[in-house]
Amino acid sequence: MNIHDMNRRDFIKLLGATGAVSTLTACGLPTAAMAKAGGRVVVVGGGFGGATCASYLKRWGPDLNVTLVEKEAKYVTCPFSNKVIAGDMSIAEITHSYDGLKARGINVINGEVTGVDAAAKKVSLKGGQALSADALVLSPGISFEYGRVENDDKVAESMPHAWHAGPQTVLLRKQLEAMADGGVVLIVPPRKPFRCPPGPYERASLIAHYLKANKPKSRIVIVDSNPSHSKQKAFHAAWAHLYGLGEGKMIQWVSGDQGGPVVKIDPSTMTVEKEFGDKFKGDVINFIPHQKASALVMSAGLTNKDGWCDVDQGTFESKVAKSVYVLGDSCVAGAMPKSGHSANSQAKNCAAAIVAKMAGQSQPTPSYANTCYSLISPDFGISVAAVYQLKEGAIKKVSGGVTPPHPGENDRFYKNEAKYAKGWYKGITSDMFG
Amino acid sequence: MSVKRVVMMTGLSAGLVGALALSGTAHAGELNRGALLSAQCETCHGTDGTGAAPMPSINGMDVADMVDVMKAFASKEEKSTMMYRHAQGYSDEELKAVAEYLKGK
Repeated sequence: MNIHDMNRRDFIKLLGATGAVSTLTACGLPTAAMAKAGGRVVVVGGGFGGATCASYLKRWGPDLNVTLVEKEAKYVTCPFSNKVIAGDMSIAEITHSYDGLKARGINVINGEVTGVDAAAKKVSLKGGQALSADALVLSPGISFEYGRVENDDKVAESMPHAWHAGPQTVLLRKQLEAMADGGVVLIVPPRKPFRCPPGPYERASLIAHYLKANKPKSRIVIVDSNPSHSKQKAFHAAWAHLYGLGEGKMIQWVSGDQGGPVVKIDPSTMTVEKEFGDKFKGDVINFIPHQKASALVMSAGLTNKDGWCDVDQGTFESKVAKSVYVLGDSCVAGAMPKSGHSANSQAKNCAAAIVAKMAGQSQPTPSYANTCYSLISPDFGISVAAVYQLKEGAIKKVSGGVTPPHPGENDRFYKNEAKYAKGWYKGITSDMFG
Repeated sequence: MSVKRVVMMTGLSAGLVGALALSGTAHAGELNRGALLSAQCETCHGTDGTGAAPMPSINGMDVADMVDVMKAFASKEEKSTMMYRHAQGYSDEELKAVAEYLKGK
């Protein structure tokens, strides 16, 4: 397909959509409630932010010409990938197609974006295609920031990060399966901020569940560079309850305050070294590199001095490029964590802002939420949740909190959290891809 | 399933979708405060609030009943694992806007 064909086809689609609007208006539907937005929106990245945004753009602006560009033909979710690592789910069960979005009238292009011209609202694709838009939405996720830890760019095979779900997830699973009973698993989280703050700790939990049943002499040491972590009290209480927590127990957490941050990893000796010289040896090492916004938005000049994108937190329009919107892990979104649910929530506000702008209407007052379940075992869950509002230009938390850390007193609560975690996954993936 | 979605899935033209939507759903393309607030609920409870078991469906409920249960979640009079943390984040006016939007789904 060349760009001329695409434009002609899109133009015909647009004509059809315009006809539909005229019909509706003539028949007397309440026009104030109908978003008569027309125009072309290109969304880059088919994950939690991008897929949701494309879907809701089409839902609220049926006349919009919406194109979604995604590198992979199918999407493997990071949420629930820790269950694959623990052998409790297959990779196929967390792999999703874009057929649902295509059926909604979204033009899904399986291609790699090689460049973004923010001023021209234009993206270039591998192979030479170029797409221009009236509004450009970028939801490209994170890139690794190599060079923060010695050798961190050389260990993707020997110490798999599994922080982009897919082949890395399967590789880490295989290494755990091959490990002998009595082995030591090291999990090395990146320094904050990073994608999915509770992720490394859920991973420790579900690997512990696998080891407890299959290799009970084995241990997990979390060699952290951070002095504290997400849902810390709830995780630690649940670990102590289910697996044992502390030195010599199944799970040990070594804080960033103990020996400083991790500064070196050595794949030849399978060791992880902290700033003050403490060394940890592992049979399987899950090294998760430091992170920043996707290289795509960085090369487009959309990032700040810290490597993330500043946006208007009500619309997600870039602070440095008009009609270019940045969602999800790449952007700075006030109090919201870098989670799939946050990206989904942001995407809906962004879609509403774009549809309203193109229809010449005012944007509804923004509203945001996050819900983040972590499984301690397949039948024991904890969570953090929050509702947010836009206050003085920044996203602020107005309610929410973490699961109370009292396992053993009311285990039914935690069992229900695990059940609802599955419902959450079903709900959000159908909302994105259905 | 709405008429709109059936038509989209069978691949008919955008013009036909618009025409058929008249007799099927009045919500295609609707964007207002209730729609955007409800979209936050739909992440867990499924698009249009139709449910994602074990998350219950939340569409088609009586407006007063939904506002009542959400306020009871917020006060913890109604027990929940998750909903109190969300319900406490919305005003009565916002809960009513959500209930009115989802009633028509």
